[in-house]
Amino acid sequence: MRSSNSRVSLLAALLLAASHLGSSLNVPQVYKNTNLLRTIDASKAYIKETIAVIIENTSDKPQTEYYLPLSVPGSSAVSYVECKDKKEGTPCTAEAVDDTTDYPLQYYKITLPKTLQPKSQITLAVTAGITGALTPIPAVIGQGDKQFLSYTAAKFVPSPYFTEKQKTKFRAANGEIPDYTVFEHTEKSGYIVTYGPYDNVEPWKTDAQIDEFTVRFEFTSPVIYMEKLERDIEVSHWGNNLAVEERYWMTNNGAKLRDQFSRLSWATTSYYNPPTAAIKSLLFPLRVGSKDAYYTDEVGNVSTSKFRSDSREAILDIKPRFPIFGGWNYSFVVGWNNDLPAYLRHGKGDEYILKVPLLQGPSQSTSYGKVEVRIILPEGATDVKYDSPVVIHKEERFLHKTFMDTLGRTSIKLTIDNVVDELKNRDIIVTYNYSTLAALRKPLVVLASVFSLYIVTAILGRIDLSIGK
Amino acid sequence: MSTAKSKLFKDPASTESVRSILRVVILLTIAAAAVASRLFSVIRFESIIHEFDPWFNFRASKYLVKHGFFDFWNWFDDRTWYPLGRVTGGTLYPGLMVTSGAIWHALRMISLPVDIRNICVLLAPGFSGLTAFATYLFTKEMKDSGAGLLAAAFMGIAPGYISRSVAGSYDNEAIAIFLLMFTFYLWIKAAKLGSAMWGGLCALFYFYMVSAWGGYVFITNLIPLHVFVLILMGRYSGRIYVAYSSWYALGTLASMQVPFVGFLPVKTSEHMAALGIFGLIQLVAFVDYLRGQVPSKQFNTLLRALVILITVVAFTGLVTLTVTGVIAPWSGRFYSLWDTGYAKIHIPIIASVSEHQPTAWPSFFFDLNMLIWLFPAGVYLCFRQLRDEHVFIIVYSVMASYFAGVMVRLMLTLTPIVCVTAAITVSSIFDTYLEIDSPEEQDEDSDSKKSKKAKELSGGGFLSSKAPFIGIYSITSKIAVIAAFSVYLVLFVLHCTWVTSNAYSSPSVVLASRMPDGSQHIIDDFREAYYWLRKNTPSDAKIMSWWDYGYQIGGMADRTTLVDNNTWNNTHIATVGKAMASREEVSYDILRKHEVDYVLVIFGGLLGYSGDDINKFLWMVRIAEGVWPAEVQERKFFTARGEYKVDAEATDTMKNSLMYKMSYYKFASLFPPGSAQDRVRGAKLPSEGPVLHTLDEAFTSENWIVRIYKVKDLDQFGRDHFAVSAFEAGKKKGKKTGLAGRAGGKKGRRAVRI
Repeated sequence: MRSSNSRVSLLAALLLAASHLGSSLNVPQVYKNTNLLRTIDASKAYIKETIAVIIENTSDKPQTEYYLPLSVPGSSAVSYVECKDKKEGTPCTAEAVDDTTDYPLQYYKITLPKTLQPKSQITLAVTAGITGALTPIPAVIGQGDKQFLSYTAAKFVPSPYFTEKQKTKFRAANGEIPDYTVFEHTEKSGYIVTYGPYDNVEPWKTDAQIDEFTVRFEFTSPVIYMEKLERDIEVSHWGNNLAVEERYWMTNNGAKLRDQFSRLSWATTSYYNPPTAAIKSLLFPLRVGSKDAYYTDEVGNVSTSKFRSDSREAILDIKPRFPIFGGWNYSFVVGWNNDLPAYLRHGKGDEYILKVPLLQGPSQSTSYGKVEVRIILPEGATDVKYDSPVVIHKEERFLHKTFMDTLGRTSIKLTIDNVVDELKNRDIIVTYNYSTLAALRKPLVVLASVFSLYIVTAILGRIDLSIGK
Repeated sequence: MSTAKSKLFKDPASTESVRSILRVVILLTIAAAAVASRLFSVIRFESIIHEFDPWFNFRASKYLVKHGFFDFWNWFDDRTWYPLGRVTGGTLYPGLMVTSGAIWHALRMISLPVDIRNICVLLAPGFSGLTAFATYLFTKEMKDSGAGLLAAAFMGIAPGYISRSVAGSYDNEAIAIFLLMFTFYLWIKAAKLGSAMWGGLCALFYFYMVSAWGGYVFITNLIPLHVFVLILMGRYSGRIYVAYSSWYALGTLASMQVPFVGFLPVKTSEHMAALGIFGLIQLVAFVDYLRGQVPSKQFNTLLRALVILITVVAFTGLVTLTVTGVIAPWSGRFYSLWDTGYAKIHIPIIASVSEHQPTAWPSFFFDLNMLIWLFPAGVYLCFRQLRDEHVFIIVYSVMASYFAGVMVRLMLTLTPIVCVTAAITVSSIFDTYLEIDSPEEQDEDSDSKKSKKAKELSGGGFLSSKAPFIGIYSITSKIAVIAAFSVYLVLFVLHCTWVTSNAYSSPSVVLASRMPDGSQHIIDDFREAYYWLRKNTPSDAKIMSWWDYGYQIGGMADRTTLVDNNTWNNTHIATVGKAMASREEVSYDILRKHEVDYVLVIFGGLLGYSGDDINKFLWMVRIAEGVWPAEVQERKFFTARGEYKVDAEATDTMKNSLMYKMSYYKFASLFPPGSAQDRVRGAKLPSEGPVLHTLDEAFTSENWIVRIYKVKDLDQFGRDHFAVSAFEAGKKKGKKTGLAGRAGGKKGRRAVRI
């Protein structure tokens, strides 16, 4: 990797300039990137890529759409893309373009916050979460060994536009970086590896040779991956309660255990509490006022959990039954209650407005394969509308029938694929109508059934079936 | 006391409605107390299934609610007894699972979707409330409702019954004791009234009992015995005939519908008594009919001839059928009831279960407290009246006392009758001593009045009350006796609470210990290891362990096991015993042949958990020796001085056995050199621990209680594992030290040639 030299890259650049074919997506060449800074943050269990770019409209017409591709080869995938005007802070929308011809590029169409006049500039800040891009190398390690992750990306940001000046900063989890590709203008200081600045980079060409850099760095924490999370948010008007239950299917995507697990060395070393690639505990920072927390799994209660709730914070600290090494699995359930008034507001007439966090989760960096959030509203709630802070991939509406229900509770199930914990603690707002009559349904039904039971028994008791006297 | 007040309480007619409400309230309170006293473990730990067998019942219940009744009926379970499998649907008593399944469906119907686990956990306490009610009904038939309420209260909290019915103890006994008492109540009712309807109801509940517990044989023999004793006493009557015939005919036909029972009622010796009495009662009825038709002199001759003929024919018939094998001889479990030493010699697998040991004397007092000394008094009181139903109590008492003495677990069948008789005693004492008015000798009129009242109060059954009133004259003695008994009753409640809380409320899956600051610390090694198996092994992995843990592995780890607590195949269990007791070379062969992926052992040496596999090891050896006497010998596990040792003095056979190696593998390294200690056996271990060649340690729980080993695959170069480990240790061939090394050396050379 270190063998690449300036002559090759120069040749590639020349070739690119000569062919000038443009990518198959046919992005109109109406911009140039004046200055581009890419920051790749690998301190978490996923990649957080931030691109700050000053763009200039080089055409003679006003423009509103800007295209930005992200490279997602192999098992990696984009979790979310968010963008805003960096100076004014106004958000803009980023939409995935349904086109896979330029694999491994995934294009995003960014609608600018305001129309960009010819020759004028705007600074965009685009943030993206990319999962599955980190590979443990070596893939198997011993129980007490250090874990290293490796990340590979293109040296130049794959932009369909001409870039005057660009720079890439790679931020590793810590300063232990045994291998990284060296090009011209490569610099390592502390836990940051910088590539650039590079001037006058031609637009991206699919068929051209691509220079890639690879960084291998130590990662002392486990790579926590939740294959699936089912989160239930249940609203009870009668109980004045908001119950949350989360069911996790967790695995450690870090380097796998080379030999079998040795309790002896685990017990002897854990006394010194060294950093380990195994998941030892998870910390759930909950909203203030959370109470009655529980932690169970498929075989019952797990006693190794601590819950502390006071007026400032509520923290659920759980310890899995066994340390979870790379490739090991564990599934568990946590849940807690909240007082409803803090989350529910009565609107006009029968309208109620619920504002709850769409996702919570452990404070350790985590990525999720699939998240299903079920919001269970009271029986008889109608006209349910919601406003989600993140993109929902699938929505289902159904009736959830449980304790003493006749109709079933109005519920919505929101499915989000490939989530990173960057998106947690954002509130979803749900509005619904709930009439007094609907609230009285349950007591009335119970009353009616008890009475009818009484009447039936009374009638049956009076029937005399005996023969003779 | 005012006369009006005394009238209010004494005139039964005017207070009947108050009394019945009181009875209902008291019974409900008793039921609540019975349920509440069984919830210790749920409050202290959690809603969890206890021990071993309940885990299978729980798993079967889950299967039932998931797949439905017909699939459950035809359930072939390929995840147990690998590679044989088990025809589970046909080899279990489905009553328990069907009951909880029915409750589950009923609750769903009224939209209360309760988790099946919670139903299973709370089934036993719920049924204990019903048992108290059944005991009330039963005792009411014997004496009066006062005695009934006392019996219900005793039954509700007697530790002898609580031991099998705490929350989470989801076993057949949970519902069977209720069914036992209710069937007996219906039988007494049928025998009293001579009613075919009550006999039919009795048969119906007998069927339920048969479907729920193997202990139904107790009913199958006790009712015929009752009838037999009545006939011998010359108390044959039409009522008995109707009751018995309807019960036997319907009950037997119904019981044969349970697949596990099938044709046993007409084929095995255990059921022959009922059949014989059925035949006898027909003859007695016939003779009774003849007596009405034939003059008495001829009748006597006829009777004698008939008796001799029938005895000879029946006996030869029985002998021929038994010898030719049409009727199965008594099963081993049954023999061990007559000869307590039988099982130990012939069927070690039965003797190895702690609850099959003979009962120690203190446990009678522990489980029944004061009831045990009130018990004979109650039986005596039954002798004083000796109506037909009292004969039943006497017969039941004699039988149950004997069986409770033979096997610890049969304390369970003794408990109800002890509660009933003790309640009769206490109730009689209270009847006598709680009479507030003392008889006045001078006033004849009032005396006779009171005696009348006394008669009414005591149910009019006692011989004493037929005579002119004999009562207690001194208020002091009344107070003394009542006070004493009140204290006894209070002490009884305290004792029951203490026993329940301390002895019977541990789930045994979860262990509790105290931290130095007094807080509770939960030791959860079993679930830790089982959950690891469940999450981190392939779903078709085969786990070998001693049979005790088979059900738990099936229930919690959801993995295939070789043997489990069903113990239907002694040879298979002996195979596992042999694998555990043999050298690695022998064991590895067995493990490969059975496609075992993981081996699980329980080791308590670090924590001092005494129920571990090394302590059970001799039973494994004995059971294996029963099948392979030439290959496994118990003697070789004892030192020359006849001691069972695990330290440096342990025999070579012991040290080389797979069980020893797996238990102590790497254990000594946990301690500073030379101070490794086994806390269960108080033995100092050699600092050089055993070496394993064919297994890898896969998982060890936090306190080392559960240790799981992975069976190594065959070597890629075709060497055996001894050669491989010798090669990896860098040893040169031929220069070997130590036993394992020597074995490795021999084979190592052969491997090198290949």
